[in-house]
Amino acid sequence: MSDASSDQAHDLVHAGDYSVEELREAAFGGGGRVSRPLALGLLGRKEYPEKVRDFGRLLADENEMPRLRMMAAQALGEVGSPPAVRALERGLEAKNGVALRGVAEALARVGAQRHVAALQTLAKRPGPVGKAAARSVDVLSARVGAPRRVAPPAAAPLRPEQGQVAPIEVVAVPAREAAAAAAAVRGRKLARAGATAFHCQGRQLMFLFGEDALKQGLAAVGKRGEIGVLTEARTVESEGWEQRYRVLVDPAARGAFNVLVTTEDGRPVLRGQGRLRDNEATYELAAVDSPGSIPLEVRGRFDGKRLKIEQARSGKRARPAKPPLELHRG
Amino acid sequence: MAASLRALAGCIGVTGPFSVLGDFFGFARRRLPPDPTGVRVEVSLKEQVARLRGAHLHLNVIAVGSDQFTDADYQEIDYSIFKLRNVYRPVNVGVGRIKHWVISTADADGLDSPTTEGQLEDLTRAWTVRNDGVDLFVPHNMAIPSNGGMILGKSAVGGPCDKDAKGFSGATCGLWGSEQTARTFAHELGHYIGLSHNHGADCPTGTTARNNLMAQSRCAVSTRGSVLLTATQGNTMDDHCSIKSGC
Repeated sequence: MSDASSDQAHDLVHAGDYSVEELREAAFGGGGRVSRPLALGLLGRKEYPEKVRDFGRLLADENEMPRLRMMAAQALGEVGSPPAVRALERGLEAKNGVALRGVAEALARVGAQRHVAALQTLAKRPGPVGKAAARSVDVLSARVGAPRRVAPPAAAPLRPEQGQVAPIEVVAVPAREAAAAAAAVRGRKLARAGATAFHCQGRQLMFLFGEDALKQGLAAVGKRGEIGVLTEARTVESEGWEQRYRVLVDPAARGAFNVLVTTEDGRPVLRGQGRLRDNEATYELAAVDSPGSIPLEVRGRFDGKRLKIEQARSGKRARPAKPPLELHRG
Repeated sequence: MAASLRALAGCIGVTGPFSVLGDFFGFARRRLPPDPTGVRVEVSLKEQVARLRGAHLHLNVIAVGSDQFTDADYQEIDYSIFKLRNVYRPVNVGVGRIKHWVISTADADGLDSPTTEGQLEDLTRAWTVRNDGVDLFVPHNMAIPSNGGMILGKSAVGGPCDKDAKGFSGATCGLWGSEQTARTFAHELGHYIGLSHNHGADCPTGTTARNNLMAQSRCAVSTRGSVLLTATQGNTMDDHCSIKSGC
């Protein structure tokens, strides 16, 4: 987790500026105003009767560009209907690793308990397919109610150093914003009640409980699973919220529990522990030390209805990032 | 010219025997890229020398998922480099040393295929080139839906020169076909060196504004031609910490 110190902006094209026919021609016929990858991406934003068939065929075609097959899997994962899921199941037979990664990531979003075993098999493969599938197993398992163990912190946490601290402001959440953030997260039922927002140097994050977790109250931290998500506002010339992090808990001995915050795709960013005592739970989290990570610590309480933040602060500088290799060409 | 060229190459950090097209102009394929419309592509040594004597920036182009990059992909990157110089030239901002870097698919650990804006930020935070160039990441399989469209690239506006600073520490750009990639490449780098969009949620109505490089591509009159910059934008770029004074 980090805090943006500057604005961000992106370049964007709208699907509404193109017809389905034009995009289908560009994506599958290879002609038109836009390239095939862009046409396919924009077609994924459209609703049309042949959509699942189009993307299913593309995903299954071993002669197609792997990147396009991956995009097809992503689009099918967004559709999420039974025919789309069946197309993804067929995609598990793909020979290409890039396509397979797309299938694994899509099934993590829309798959069911029956897909866990198939993804676990994929996770045994070496390299990027195995790693992507392992992350997908974690995400899917948490979704379908059989999450993996959250281990206690293994390495020293990354906390801000004295003199290098930026405060994180905890602010009230307008109901409309909580509703918008909850609606932006697909595949999960999130509660608007109990939402907590964090502001730090222009960055806006909002924690939302899963509906089930909030109904359970304090008992939620006594059960292994995902209790909520952190969404992030996209504010610079773009609107809306994006799911950014997932919050998982796992009970340990004598009223303690472990907490893990990962990115949406399963990369650990914060770890910590909590303790359930009397009528509340206390918790303490710190950043996972990895290249580019920002020192951060959060401490607070949970009374069964709302998170209370007693201290939240981050560092001002990131850990050194990894260097890429120089391209050598003849 | 040879002695002058060697001195200028040294000034931008290119030493030893060097290829003019590869090391001095920074084309990954060490030759000129084709123009997608078939127009003849030419570069001018004299022009580049003039640019290096004025304000310029250095660039690191980082191919993410490098083992998936084809020659056609590098052609797209090289065309973007060719066009970047032409787009920035009218406001007297040169593009000096361009170095190419790679992150393999295995090392990228999924960030070769970002599907969220957050993953783009994760990418720029996890990797950096330790030199004085701006890092521009090109994830091979970028596919990020947003607001009923697709995100083509993303960057900080006025990004940091301290590469350990928080937040976005580089620009990002996907591969969308030569002309679109070239526009987004210049647009995102424009953000990094201080330029904002020239419009809000609604596209500008005037043709001049829609022909500006900093109009989002959804607002552009044409992908190829809507790459103009104003003198004011040039001044803003000049003020960025990544801009070097002339050699």
